[in-house]
Amino acid sequence: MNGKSKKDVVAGIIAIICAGIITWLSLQMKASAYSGDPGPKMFPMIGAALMFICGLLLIIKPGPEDKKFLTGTQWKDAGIIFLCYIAFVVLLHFFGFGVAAPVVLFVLTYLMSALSMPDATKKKRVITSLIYAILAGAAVYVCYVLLLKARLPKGVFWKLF
Amino acid sequence: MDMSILAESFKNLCTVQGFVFVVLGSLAGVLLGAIPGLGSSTLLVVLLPLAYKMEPAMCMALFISVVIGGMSGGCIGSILLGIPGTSSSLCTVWDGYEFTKQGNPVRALSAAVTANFLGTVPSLILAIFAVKYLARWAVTLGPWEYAGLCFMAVLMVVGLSKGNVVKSMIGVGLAIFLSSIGTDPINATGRFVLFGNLNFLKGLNLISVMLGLFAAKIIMLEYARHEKQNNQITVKVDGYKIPLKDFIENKWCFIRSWITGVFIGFLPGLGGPVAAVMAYSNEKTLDKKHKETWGHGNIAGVISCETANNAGIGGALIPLIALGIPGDAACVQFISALNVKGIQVGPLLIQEHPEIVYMIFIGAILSGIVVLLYETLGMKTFPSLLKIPYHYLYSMVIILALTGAYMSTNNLFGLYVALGSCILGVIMDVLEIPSLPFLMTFILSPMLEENLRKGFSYAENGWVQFFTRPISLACIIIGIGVLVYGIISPVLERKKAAKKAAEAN
Repeated sequence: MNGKSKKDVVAGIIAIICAGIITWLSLQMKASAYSGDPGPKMFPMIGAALMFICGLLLIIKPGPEDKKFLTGTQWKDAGIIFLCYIAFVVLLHFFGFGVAAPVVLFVLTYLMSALSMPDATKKKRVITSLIYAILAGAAVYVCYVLLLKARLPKGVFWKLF
Repeated sequence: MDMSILAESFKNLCTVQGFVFVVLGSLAGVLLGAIPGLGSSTLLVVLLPLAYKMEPAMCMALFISVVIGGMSGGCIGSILLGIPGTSSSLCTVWDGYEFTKQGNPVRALSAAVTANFLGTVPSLILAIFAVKYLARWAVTLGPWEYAGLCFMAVLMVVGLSKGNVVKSMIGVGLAIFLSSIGTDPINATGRFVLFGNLNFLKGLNLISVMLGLFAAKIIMLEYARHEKQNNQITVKVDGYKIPLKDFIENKWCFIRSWITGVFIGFLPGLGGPVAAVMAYSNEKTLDKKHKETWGHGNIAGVISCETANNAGIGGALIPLIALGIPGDAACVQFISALNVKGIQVGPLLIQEHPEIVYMIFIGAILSGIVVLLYETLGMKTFPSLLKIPYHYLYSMVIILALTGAYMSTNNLFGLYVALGSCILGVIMDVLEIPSLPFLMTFILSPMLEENLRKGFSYAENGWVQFFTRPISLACIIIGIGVLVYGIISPVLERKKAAKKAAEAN
């Protein structure tokens, strides 16, 4: 496999596995009640067939070797941001939008300021991020909840009291 | 064209609310377009949840203003930083940045700003007239023709997107599967209701998918790659100077680029980036006299790119409004916003909701004027646009995107879909599966499936009717032809390059 893209082979295997699962699930669907209608399984099975054929082509003829997508540290940094997304979901559910938005806004602003304000001290970054999180969080709350009347969660935790 | 509705749309936009939406949308678009990385399409995705709360016509005015602003703002980063603000302004860098290096950014900026306006407005006027005739013709089409049009659109995106065709087709297959989740359009049977979760019956919300696939993924990866350092911009920009001489000297370049832009915009899935590259390479090939100046500060390079990418806006609106087929990624978001209100984009849109259609055009023209005024009067402020600390902007975009994902379903399921789409987007990037064919198929799949199955049901001879009706057959042939071209052209290019290399040796 020297000089050939391992990614393409992996993509091909994933596509074939997905195609198998989609086909299996589609075959369990009932036929259509209308005459001439190929039924609900036809369309997803077209997708599965495409994935199977293209997956097979990628395995048989992978492209040339490709460069690394992200380094180990970069994956770690991407993971931290994704954890912030998950934290937003958890905080939104338990403590509501009023807490989730400013907290996650603060963490994200602080993390990203390390890149855009490399000369700033940690203390300065914390303070500016905190002020921004409170002000911007309040602005988003006013826009969405008060002006747009969006129904954002208040948090299950507060219902305990 | 119904002048009374056109006048009514204009009147609605001249209210305080309408004016605020157009001005804010245009300026926010310019800002996001100027800053390399995000682009106006991210802003559109973030704004999508507003469609639930806004009146549809006004929402469209806001959206089109963001598109116009974003497309026009893209040249600022390209010319001043040498980094394209948007992919549509990629080739503006090649000649535009040279002017900045030579200490004369105003000439390139003035030409770009003027080309933006002159590219946009005539293409919109053309679209206003073309849409009505195309829509009138489109209502006479049956399910066979619609299925053929969708089939052609998907294959054209795959064939012309210059990515790996096999991988693009995997993206198409995946999008077909994901769009099949939920209630089947003909029998109302539940499909792929995973883990018995009834939220799947409504299908995967397009807004959540886009918020995850674009906003959440892009910001996560840009942070990980440390791509967003603060821009060290020291260049000073003076006021706008009317580029009359540049335009008179390059009038044919402008006209050809405009035609290229409108035509490429009209084709599904290509949009501004392809239009700009094509116009640039056309002009470079045709300009035999000054060939050596291209890439070293030829003003025609700036004019051709900026005219073509903006002319593409009007071109892209024609199939969107008349046929319900998005011309580019921004048009996909127009469809999503209207779907939120239960409004189907397609040939009946202009009959049933003319106020929305005309609002798009009037909003676009007004936005073009607002952008022109800002960019000519406020040219001195361009460098400061590029100095905005990105950590404030990006963190806010994420909060708005995640909040929007929640609002799209009014429960946490929308957020789960957005996070799932973010992971899917990363996997697709790792495996180099292009996202545009995926997205176009995801948006067109419901229309394709419904018409495909109706075509089978209504016909006396099953699938044969797809090949006996001329328009349907023509669409199938064009689609397959473009796909085959997409497969063969890289092979031929490689052979040609190898032959050239052998000759050089």
